[in-house]
Amino acid sequence: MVGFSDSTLNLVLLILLGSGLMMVYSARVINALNWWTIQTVFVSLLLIAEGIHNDATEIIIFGILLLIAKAGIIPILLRRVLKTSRTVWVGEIFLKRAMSLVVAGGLTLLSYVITEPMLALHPSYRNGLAIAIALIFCGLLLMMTRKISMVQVLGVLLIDNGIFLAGFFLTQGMPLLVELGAAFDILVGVVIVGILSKQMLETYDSLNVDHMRSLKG
Amino acid sequence: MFIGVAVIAAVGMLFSAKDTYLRLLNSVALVLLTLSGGWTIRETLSHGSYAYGSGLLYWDALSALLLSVIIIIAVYVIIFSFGYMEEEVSEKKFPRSRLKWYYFWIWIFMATMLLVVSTPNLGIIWVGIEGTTLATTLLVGFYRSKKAIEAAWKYVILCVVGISFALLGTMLLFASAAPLLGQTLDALDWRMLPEVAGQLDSTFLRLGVLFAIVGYGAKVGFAPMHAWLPDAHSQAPSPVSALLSAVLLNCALYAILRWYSLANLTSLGPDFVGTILISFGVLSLGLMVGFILLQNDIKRLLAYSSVEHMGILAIGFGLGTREAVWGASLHLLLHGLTKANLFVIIGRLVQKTGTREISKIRGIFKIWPYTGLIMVLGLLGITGTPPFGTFRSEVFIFSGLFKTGHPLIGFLSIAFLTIIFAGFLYHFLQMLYGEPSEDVQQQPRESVGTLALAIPLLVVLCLGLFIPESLNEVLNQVVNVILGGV
Repeated sequence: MVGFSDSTLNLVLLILLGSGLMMVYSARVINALNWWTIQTVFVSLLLIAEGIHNDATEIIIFGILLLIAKAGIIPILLRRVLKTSRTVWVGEIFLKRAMSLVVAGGLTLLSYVITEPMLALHPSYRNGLAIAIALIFCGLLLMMTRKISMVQVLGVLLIDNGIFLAGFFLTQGMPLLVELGAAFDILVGVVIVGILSKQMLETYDSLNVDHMRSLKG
Repeated sequence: MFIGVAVIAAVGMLFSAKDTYLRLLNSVALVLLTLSGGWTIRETLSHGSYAYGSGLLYWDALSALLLSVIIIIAVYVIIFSFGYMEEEVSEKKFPRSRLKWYYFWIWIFMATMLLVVSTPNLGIIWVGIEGTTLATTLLVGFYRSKKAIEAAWKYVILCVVGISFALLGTMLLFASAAPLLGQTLDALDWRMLPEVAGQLDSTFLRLGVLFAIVGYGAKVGFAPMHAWLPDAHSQAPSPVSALLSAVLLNCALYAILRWYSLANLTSLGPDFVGTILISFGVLSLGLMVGFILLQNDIKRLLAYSSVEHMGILAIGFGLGTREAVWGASLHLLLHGLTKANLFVIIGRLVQKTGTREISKIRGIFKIWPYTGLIMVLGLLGITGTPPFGTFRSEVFIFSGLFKTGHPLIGFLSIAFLTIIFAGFLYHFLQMLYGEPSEDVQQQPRESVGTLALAIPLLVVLCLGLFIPESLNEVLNQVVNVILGGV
């Protein structure tokens, strides 16, 4: 399976979970983006390590592509949007940062509880699967409790990392064609969200989704 | 083949925004699409299935039905687009240079939908469905008004998150199938999966199926995940609304149907997904009653009616009896035709009157009698009034509820439909009669040629009077595919 010892794997998982929690705790959008980038680098490295361990060239190539696309292109695009919009604050609603962190911690515990029945198949992946689910929860939390559109996008991207990780531990990689398609979709998605944010800036002059409440009933 | 046609057409659209160029290129692309698609459909139906490119693309009767719906409605809507979008340009709703992007995204949208119905792989279906969301986001926000951008934002965020869960579901399915079929595309192939369906791990499968149905369900617009739908449908340009409502929702439903027919063969049993679908269906019907009765925005009215019809389809497919599934398959086609026609005719009306508010549109019969006539046909068609085909399909679906011992749900659903009929009648009659406002009275009158727009509705009418044997045979094949040859 993964080409390194249990303790290294646990360290990587700790970094993944930690960066997810730090995204929830970030007060500035740019910090959350940086934490997400770090997380994505480690997710890609995990994939590359597995590829090297199994001598699977296509997985290594896919891992490198993922590293370039997700840890390279996406952060650059989002950074540019942030710069033009001069957005700094993440826009906390309902929950302040510290409180969000507490909730996120609770969600992490919850994800350990709900992955319990799935462990029969792969007991050794207990931490991996639980942390993947925890990241999905953190992403949802981020989307619900922040009002800046870019943070919601980061929430979606965090969910995406979580799902990718869940897939990695559940299946040791989906078929390459599907993985490629999914990664391509995410990349195109971020480009489109970037265009949409530009239009949002032109019409609303901010990325705050609070302005967008006119469509009802 | 036709996926290639759509992609090439999309790129071709970017070269020029001249009216004649776009008309010519679109027409050529539509002809090629119809020819290659029609050929594929014919091959599929005569042999039962048809594979291309060493099985990477594969069609059976169900895919062929969806493929026909996509092609028929695309031809109708894109031809209508020419005049409609020209008019929008001349009214300065957006600059002419943006027109090429409109057609570009329309054709990318077509390509992704064609991919969804052409692949035998649940993973690739996911990639395609996610692609449809991305391709339509900028179409929904095409007018770049505040409301349009709000609608596009809600649409992309809600649908992408919804669809992410479907990906998680797909992964869980893969995790339970990979030990049996190997770590390849085979393990997500709905041609291979039925053979091992009985041995799939039930914990993973149950969770996976749930995630997939709920995730794709958000995209179909089942209540209570329908929040994005009325916004997107009402803010998009009317031809796009027609495509979203009549084709895209069906494509997402198609993904659910593939999961449904697979889940029926597994240890979960046929009732597991069926019950979920019926619950979503009844909820969608019930919740829409209020929205439809109190609606003042004509395009939102049609959007809510789409949610309602997706609910009817979910009930029909969820019941899983031959008659109900037959009725639902027919209803899928008829709803597509009716709703595309309604969005087209209402879109034209909104363009001419300059308002979407029902209370401001009055006296259509006095100024535009032909439009009025088509609206009456549309009203009767969408509410399932005899002798329209939708009546036939709805009778098949709802009689299934009583036959399988759900009299209470059956009674409730029919009560909901009756109230919705009353609501539609009330809104439409108000618009058709009365005194038109003054600036509307100065608008030019229309010619008999308008009636050509009613072709889909006339087909729906004919299918209510009789069902040709060939169509019946095709629908029976579709039922066999969905019910797994039971």
